[in-house]
Amino acid sequence: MGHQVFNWQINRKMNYWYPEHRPARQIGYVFDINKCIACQTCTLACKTTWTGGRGQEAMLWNNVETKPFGFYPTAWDVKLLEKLGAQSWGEDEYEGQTIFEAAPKGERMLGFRPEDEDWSYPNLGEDEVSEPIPAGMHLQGLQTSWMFYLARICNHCTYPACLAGCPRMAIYKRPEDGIVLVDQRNCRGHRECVRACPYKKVFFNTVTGTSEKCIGCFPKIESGFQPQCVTHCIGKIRLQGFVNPPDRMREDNPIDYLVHVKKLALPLYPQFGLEPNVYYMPPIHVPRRVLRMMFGPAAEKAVETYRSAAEDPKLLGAMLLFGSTERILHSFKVANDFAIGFDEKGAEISRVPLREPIYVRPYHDQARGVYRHNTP
Amino acid sequence: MGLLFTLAWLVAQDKQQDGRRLLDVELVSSFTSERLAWEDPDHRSWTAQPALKLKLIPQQVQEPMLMAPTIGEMRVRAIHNRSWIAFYLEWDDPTNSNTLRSDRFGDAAAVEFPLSMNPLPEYRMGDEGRPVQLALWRAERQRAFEEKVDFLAENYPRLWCDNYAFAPTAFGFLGTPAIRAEQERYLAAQAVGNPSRIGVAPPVEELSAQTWNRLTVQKSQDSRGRGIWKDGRWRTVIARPLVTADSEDASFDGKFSWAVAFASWDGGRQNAGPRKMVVEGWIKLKLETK
Repeated sequence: MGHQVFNWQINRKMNYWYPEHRPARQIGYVFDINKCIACQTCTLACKTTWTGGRGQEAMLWNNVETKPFGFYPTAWDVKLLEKLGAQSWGEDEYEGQTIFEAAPKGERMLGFRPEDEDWSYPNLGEDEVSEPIPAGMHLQGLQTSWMFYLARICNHCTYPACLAGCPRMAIYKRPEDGIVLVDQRNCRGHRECVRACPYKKVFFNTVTGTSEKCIGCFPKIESGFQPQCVTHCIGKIRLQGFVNPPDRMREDNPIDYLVHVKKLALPLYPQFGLEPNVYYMPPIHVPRRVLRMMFGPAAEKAVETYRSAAEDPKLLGAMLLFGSTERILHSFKVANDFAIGFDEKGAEISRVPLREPIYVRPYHDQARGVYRHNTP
Repeated sequence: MGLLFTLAWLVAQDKQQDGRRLLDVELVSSFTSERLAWEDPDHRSWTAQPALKLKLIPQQVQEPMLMAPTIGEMRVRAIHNRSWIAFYLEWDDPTNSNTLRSDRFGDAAAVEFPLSMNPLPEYRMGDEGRPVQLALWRAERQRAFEEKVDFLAENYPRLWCDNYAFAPTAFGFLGTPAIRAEQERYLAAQAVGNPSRIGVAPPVEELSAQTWNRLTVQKSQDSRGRGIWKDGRWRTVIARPLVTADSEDASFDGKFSWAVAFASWDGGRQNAGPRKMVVEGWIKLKLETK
């Protein structure tokens, strides 16, 4: 059983369990990986808001892991990539198989359910770099070893595998904002969703016997505010808004602008075929083959765009609006060296200068008779 | 070519209809004037009659399927007393799976009845407009319900959490109603009244199904049951009143022949939901009058 649906991230039709049905608008996020310092403030903001109960001890709807050796749960992505096998991208589209197309006989998609212990080491591989550091190594310009922090939440996918995998239809995608939820009243704890989600962002609660997942902070979304993990990010690496498919994209929508116009923000593992809606500005110092595997063939160009962002006032403006307001930005513009963000009704809710003014204060304050430190 | 296609289509249609037929197998429910001891699978009354051996096959009509068989056979007996009917189910399972963890499932068994005999619904979860009634017994639910087992404490005996948000026990006091209400919000399934949640759901849960996707917990829970695992074998009784006021139940009012089907799950081998072993079709059920 299956339906042909169009997935713009792989630029072709693909097989999915249900027909194509896009919500009125789709929640979307952009994360600037280059700015993440893995302080885990997002993790704690989410944890203390939503998963502080019994049965949720090892449940992190938001986590930040260090790539290449950090995983939560253990080996979540490399295990599935290995199962999927070598696949290829063509000139214009993905030529390989998605997890739906690679479903073994008797399954709705290719997947696996992690073992219990796999959820027990959320900081596995933290701060580890890609290769051993030889004795005596010291800074000599560019380093060959690399690592980066990957902040992860539910992708509120356009084609959610968790939803397709649930044999009881207890998972649904909200028509008004595309947020994917587990119906806590009807979930029967079969954990097919845990097996199905390639990003392993559905969790099992032993106390209630049901599956639970990120709810996109929907009470905040309904009130016009961005989610907790976004607004608490001290590095201001995140922006939440609504993302449109390419044929309906709006250039003044900051998410659409970064995703579709500048093609700077890319989906994570688009080859899995879920059309995930968290978009990443890829880390610029990571080998291209790794970026291509994780973010698709557009990664190399995205790195170039990122490197030249400072010369593009509009792009710079869109990036500077990250973390500038708790309200949801529906549109933006750059004018008079300011990036200005607007709410749904077009009212200004954020204004950020493209260049912060620099104040150099004298080392000695004569008026107060004190010495100062200027901290950059 | 056209003839071949037609033949293939007819074979496929015939295969589809297989699940809506009565097998040439009859389970006779003996009559007793005594009360049915559904809570005691050790009771002598259960084994007074010979068992009907039923072959089980993996569920392979709806994804996700069970691709490799787990439980090969179920031995079934039935007894009624004009008010209740009970099914005594025996199957071999080397492991007693009766706990709950993210990667562990409980053993289970189910009895199923069509609500109408003509036409019969598909015995694997019914058809739209032709519902089936299910009575599902689950091992871990029995422990949670009867023994009040805390699976979190059982599986993680050294677990320590500094503070559960809004948990009354966190600071050693019982908490105000407001705090208790907040605590319940962190157990979302409990807050919205999921009838299947652990510790609340009885060992036997009555369900209605009209195809795989349309499975609901019945509002009126009339079935009872209990299982015992010993020496690599489950012996489980599932009982229900012959007549109820519940429109979601198959009614035996004035009827002495009906249809029944059985299913079983080996939790130790990750059987859950549609990944289960089922009988080969509807079994004829005959109720002895004396």
